Amino acid sequence: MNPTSRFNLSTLVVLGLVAISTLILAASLSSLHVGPGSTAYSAPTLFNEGNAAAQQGKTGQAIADYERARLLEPGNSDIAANLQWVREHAGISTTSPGWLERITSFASPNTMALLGWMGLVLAGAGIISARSIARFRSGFHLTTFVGIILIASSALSAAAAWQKYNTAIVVSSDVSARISPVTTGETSFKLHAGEMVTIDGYYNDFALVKNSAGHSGWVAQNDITLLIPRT
Amino acid sequence: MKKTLPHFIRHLGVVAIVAATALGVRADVSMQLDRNDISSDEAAELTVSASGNGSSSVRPPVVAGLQFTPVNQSSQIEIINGSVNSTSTITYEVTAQSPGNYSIPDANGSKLTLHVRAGSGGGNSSQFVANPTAPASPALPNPVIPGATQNIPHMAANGAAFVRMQMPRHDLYVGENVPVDIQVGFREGMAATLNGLPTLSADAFTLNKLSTKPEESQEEINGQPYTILTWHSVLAAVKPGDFSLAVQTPVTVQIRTAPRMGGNGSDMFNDPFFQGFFGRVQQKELTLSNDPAAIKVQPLPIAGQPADFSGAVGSFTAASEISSVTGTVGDPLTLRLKISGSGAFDRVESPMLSSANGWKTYRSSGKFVPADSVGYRGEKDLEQAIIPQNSGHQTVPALAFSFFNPESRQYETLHTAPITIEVEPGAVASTIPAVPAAQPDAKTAPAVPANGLRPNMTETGVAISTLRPLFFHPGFLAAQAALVFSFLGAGVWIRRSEQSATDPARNKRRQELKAMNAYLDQMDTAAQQQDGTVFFFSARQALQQCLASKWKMAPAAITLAEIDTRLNGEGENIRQVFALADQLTYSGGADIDADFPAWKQAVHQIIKETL
Repeated sequence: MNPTSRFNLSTLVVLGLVAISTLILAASLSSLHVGPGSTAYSAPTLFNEGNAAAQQGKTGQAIADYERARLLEPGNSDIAANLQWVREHAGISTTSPGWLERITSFASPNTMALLGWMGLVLAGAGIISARSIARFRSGFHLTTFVGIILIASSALSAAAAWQKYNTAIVVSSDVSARISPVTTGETSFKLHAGEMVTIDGYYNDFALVKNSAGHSGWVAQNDITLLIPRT
Repeated sequence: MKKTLPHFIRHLGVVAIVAATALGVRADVSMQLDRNDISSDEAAELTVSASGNGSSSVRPPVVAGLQFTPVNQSSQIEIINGSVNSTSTITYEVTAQSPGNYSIPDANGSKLTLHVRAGSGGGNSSQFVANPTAPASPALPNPVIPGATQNIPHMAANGAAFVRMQMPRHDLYVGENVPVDIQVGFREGMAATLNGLPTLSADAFTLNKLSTKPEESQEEINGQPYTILTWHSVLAAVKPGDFSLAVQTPVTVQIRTAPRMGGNGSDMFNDPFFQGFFGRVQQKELTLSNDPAAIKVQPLPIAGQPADFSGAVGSFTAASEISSVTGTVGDPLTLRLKISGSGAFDRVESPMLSSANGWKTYRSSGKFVPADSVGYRGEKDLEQAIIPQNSGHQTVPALAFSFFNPESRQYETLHTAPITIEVEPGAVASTIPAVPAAQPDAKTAPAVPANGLRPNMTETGVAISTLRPLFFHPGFLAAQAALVFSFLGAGVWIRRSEQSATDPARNKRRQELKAMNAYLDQMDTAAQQQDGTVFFFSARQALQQCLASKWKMAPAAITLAEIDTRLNGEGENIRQVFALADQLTYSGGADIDADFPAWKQAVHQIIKETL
């Protein structure tokens, strides 16, 4: 088989598979569509709900709403300002974001996911085309490089999203973190409304959480809310 | 027996007062505080005395933030020459919910003043906290008691207490502010303490900070006197949708249980005065709530939205002015845009003058001056420093301000009149320090309201059904996997193709098959032309190529002897093809009468079975 026919066939195969992947992606994106009666999340709505909660003194819920709004619009200065204001007035220390959060904060996780998919298309098409067509090989190598950069950025964003996936926010005040998952368990330490914790496990109505100081304890699930609701 | 006499006297007093009431004698009520200055940890004593008939009207006053607890009661009856005169005295312990100055009205229209200082407990007596787990967030506006109202019975508006909200419209837009009046009413004589400020039942709305000192007034409802506490505020719609909105207020009321007295006197003892004497006082936490109102909140229309729309919703007018109509090149002037009206002023912004020819512009700043107590009406002054770059007759262009008018349900853009200035040549170039110049699309700095929170967003944004990132969606992972496998598969296929193209054995076999196909084509053509010599010659060559590929031999080495050896007497058709080809070759191309279609089919069949 000569190179030309090989290029034509491989191009058709790749294009066909990319089309299949696009269809699967489109189906996945359609699941984000807000159906009648379902909960709708948008950055402005979450921001406004955070304002309402803050004005009612619901510090934990306000911080949860702002953090969720920030997931959708990481670079929004209004969200960041109100989040900082509520944290400061609730006496919650505002730690500077980690390197992973900083470098992935220029776009939302969903945007980064789509860029990663696009990077995969570019890298794959670039590699295959470079093997098949000698004429534009340098251009295909550049395409591959851009694709790999996008994939790497997307992977970092996925890692940051995974951290947030297991993050919860304390919505009640003076929550007792107990040494055992029972209401009579001895209190190990206290959590304040608005504090962010990492969830390490569940048992009945309790969740094993770890605070920023590294202390672990069991808290009632009603006293915390997941940053990323599972529904 | 020792307790019998006081009880008898008390009953006698009751009977006498009732008798005096029937005679229509009026009561004189007086009040006295034992001191006017206490801390929030302490209690003052209020003595209320009523003499004459009508002393049954002695009831504790209603003052927001104060609690009146009866601690002592006494009565005295005098009957002189058939004239009955009764005096009853009730002593209340007065405690305050928070520090401040309180006025206690009496029946004569005068007021007693009680100053409450902050106590050692920070000013909040724990006995008034309905929910000890309420978040301690004194810096946040509108502190409420979350969760405290979940399982507490609600009182209806037609009861002894009620809450109601008056608002001009029930059809709102996202970002629209409307003035509202929230009123809490207590029937006169009811002892109640507010445990918090009124809150909204729906999170789709926000309420401006409510004052801890509402307006107090008297109102008669269905013939009953009520003390009304009124808060003026502004309601803002946060998100679109259909909502039911109610106002809730947590209160603690003192309920006096009726005394257990049987017989004919039971009706008489329904009187609050007697219940005050003989009943037991119970404190009960309640939540006042009104009937929910249906509110429709619509998103702002996308169509027709001006490019400079900053989210202001309301009704506004705009005017511009400049600090001086004369100037010098390089000297700054102050350009002002005054926007007045009613609505959401926290979203009133304007890019002012940006990148105009002949003007150097700077970032603008804004200041809001409310015209009412709630900040619904007022004027926002936007100021911008501008510097003329050229001398002569200069014109400051018209300024524009866009907003959405909920009354007309459309966007409106106001334009101010251009301002003409006479600018004299400057001696030197501008000496203004390097202040960051406004960008062409620079807007005013975001307004920060008094409570420090940036205002609500008016746009609804792109809504999605879940916050779970795409990374964790099975469909997205499947799409990624399909891509990876497809590219891997394509890569493997291309690599194998490349390897195949450079393999000598494969190339040899490919050439053999190619030659065989050429001979077969030649044979088919000869069959059509009834050319026996070419037909059998081509057939033998095709068979030689086929068998050579199978036996890994050179095609020329495939002879009749070789065929006999390998096929052990089988392959009669092959031998006949070889024999006829030799015969025709050696005979110099003699004619042969052969069934070409049959031979052609036989050769194809042999090759198909061999390969």
